Amino acid sequence: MLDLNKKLYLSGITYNYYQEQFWESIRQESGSGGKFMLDLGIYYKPQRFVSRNGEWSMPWPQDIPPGFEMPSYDPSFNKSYGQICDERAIEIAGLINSKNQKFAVMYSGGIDSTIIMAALIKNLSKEELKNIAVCANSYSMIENPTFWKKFIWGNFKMYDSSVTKYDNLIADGYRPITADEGDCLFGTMGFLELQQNFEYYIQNLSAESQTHLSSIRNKMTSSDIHYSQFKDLIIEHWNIPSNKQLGASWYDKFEKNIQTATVPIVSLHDYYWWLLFNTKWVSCAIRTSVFLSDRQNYQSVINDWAMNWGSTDDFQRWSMVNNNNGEKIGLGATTYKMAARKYIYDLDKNDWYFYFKLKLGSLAPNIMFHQDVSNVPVELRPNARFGIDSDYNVLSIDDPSVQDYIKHYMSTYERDW
Amino acid sequence: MSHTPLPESDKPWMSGDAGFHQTYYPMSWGKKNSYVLFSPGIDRFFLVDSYDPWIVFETGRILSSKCSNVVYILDQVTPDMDNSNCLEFTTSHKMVDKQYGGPIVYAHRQSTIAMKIKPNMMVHRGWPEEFQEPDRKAMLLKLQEYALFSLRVVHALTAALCFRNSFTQRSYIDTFFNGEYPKDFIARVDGTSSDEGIESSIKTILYESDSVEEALERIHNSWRSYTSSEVTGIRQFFYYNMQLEQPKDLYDLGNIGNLDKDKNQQTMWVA
Repeated sequence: MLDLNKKLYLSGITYNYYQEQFWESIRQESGSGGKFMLDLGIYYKPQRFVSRNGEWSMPWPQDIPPGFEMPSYDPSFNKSYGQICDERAIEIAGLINSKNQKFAVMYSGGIDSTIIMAALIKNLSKEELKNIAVCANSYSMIENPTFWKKFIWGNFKMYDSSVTKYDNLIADGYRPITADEGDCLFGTMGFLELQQNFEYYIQNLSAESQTHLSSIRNKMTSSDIHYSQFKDLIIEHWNIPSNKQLGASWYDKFEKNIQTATVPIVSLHDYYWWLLFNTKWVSCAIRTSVFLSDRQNYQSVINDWAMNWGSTDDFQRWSMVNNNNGEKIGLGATTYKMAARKYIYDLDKNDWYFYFKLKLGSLAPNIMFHQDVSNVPVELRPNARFGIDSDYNVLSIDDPSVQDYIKHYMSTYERDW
Repeated sequence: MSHTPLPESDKPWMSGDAGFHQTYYPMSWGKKNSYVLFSPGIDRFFLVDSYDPWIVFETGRILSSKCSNVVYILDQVTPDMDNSNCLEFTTSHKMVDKQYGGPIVYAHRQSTIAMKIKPNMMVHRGWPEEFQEPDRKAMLLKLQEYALFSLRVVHALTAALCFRNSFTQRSYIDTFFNGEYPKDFIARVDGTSSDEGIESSIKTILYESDSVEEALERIHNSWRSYTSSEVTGIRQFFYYNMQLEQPKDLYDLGNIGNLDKDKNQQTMWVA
């Protein structure tokens, strides 16, 4: 039963096959802000934007779950990314030695999860590494075959992540470690996609705007050019076929957030980094706990069991002071997460991965698509989940009280930007 | 392990001509370009071929350990694009290629996929900006050389197996018999002594090796290990298609190798 006074820790407008009909059914009765949120849900699937810093209204009462707040901005922070990785691994070694804890690394072969493995291999003793398991799947092998053959195969207890849920790992006494917030620290796939399709997004702009944008195209990751100079491009990027005003409305809402934030956001890359670092952090940090668990107590999964590799103040402070210096990205996709590439290279010496690895999405195609949910009631399956409330109850989109809650707040939510 | 770089004269795959494999594709003679490998990360094409899309696809699969890629089948000949300058060409955008596995970053995968290019998408954009620095430029050229070398190996290996492999039971059994045979039947992949077959051995070498020189040395060792009593001539045909001389120790094995004297295979029994 979701009471109207209850706050939410995670909420999502999810246009998937299961929920789409409900969301469209409330469109007419939604306020102007509600309609905007629905269109944003069509654009960004799932739409779970929640701000940790700066003004950002939501249709319903929303809170940041404890432990996932943004630390204060410290311009003098000077630890290197590699140092923070080493310290994080040493922290895990401490938990192994003091509490005999066991950990299962959610490993995809991508840069973020390879970072975890590289840090553990670099910093843990052979004995300590016996408490580390790897939760991977056949695609993890293909995504990073060299690392697999050289460092993983034969050295760790293995779980198949295409069928193993957090429930299974926890039942075996393993704490899942995920690097799911890695993109939040470094930027977004959305920015890479924007770069990749620059010509497409500018094709309908005025000749003057096209000329201007083309002239600053190679300055997207430079602090020399403020993101507002790319305003026409951003608006085009956020438009959807059914609403050509969405981009402008988005720009205004996010601009209000940026102007009231306490962290500097300068370049176009900063703009897209801030989108994730600020407004997608909570979702990225707890989504696997919520969507890869069916039987467990969510509060316990999130706070006691799951470990988010990058969810430390140091990683986040590093992220806030390392924009536009080449640590996150150079010019394009093969330089994305450069600090992480360097850290991995220091161990594996794999030139190919260092120079050519491309960010890929792995959670949906390699894990979520294959999960067996046959034992879970239809209304509680991941595709039917709206979020969790501040008591960590999972909320089903089929629950009448959840529907009433959503309808109430969406109907009264007007644009305030 | 470091390997001594080969002199350019010993790299027929870099010479610009199509190689001996062109003789297998008479319909393709004189074509400029038909199939390309595209890297969404680099946002450029890095290999051009005019002979066989499935060979290019297999080459892409092998190269996916180094650089994820998409095989494009081109809609028309793109004037002036060949392997000397394809790193300057790309598609104008990827919004028309949202297919799962395709080049758009949201949908791309590490495993290779083939696609037909949409009309009029080719553009010349010049050398990629983020590969201007000397180390990055050298690495991109190394990728292209490795791709051309791998393409030549796959062409040569495919032809060698099609022309010379007379012991193909495993592929027949795996494809057509679906478990309808005693599990202890011996089913050979080919005439070599490699358990997984020489095709898998050599492709795995390409998948794993760090350089052309390393791959060539390991391929040489593989032939030496697995073809000392090989009678069908796969090895000789492979090197012939590569336009390389067999290394001396392989050449010294003779036309049909050193036959295993403990096996009754020396005599052709003809009724």
